[in-house]
Amino acid sequence: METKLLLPNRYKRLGWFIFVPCLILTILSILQLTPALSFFDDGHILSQWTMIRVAEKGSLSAFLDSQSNDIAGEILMTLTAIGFFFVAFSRERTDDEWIMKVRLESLLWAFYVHLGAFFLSIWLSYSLAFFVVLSWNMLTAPLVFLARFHWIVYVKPYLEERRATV
Amino acid sequence: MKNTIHVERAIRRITQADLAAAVGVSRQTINALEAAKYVPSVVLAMKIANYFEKPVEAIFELGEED
Repeated sequence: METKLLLPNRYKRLGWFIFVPCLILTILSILQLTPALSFFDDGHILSQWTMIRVAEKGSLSAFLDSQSNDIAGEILMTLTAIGFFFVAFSRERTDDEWIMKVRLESLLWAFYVHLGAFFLSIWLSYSLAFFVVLSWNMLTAPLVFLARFHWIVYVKPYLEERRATV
Repeated sequence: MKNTIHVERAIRRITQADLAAAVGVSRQTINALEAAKYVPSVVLAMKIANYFEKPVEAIFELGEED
């Protein structure tokens, strides 16, 4: 059964290889454990390669009000997003109508949890903390989607079968 | 929606994986169907019925809540 609007199955594995390390680095760099991992600040070990001179590019400097800008954070977040896109939206080995239904249900779940967390963050945090929570909440929808989808399609049937055979 | 896929499989002595391959879906889908957690599309219901060489109504039946 052909399911439309999805990437071929081979992107899934590639997606995991990109998504998992980038997600870990994103989390570590938001936590700012060491300067070397603080991709969103200047001064980590990659800076000498990822620093772009905004002023030399002229018009961009008006938006970024800084002489230079480190794009390590941009690269990392782009890779995380692309990795998620590959993992979440490539076909399973045998993709069919039930898997598509679980996929869409999981998207709904992810959106609900994301919205719930968003409302909580509006009421329970303010000023700078609000933006920190917002940046963490960026990860809620992708992670809830992936967790729910793989739980229903792979983990739950496996656990039920194992319980049935014992 | 109730169905007798499990019984039909037992009669023919085939596994969920065999049936899944024959009608072109994943094994988990057959699992969800047998557990009555999923109502298949008309296309899939007819493919399953064709595979067992029976009319659709012999395998699928409306439940009380449908």
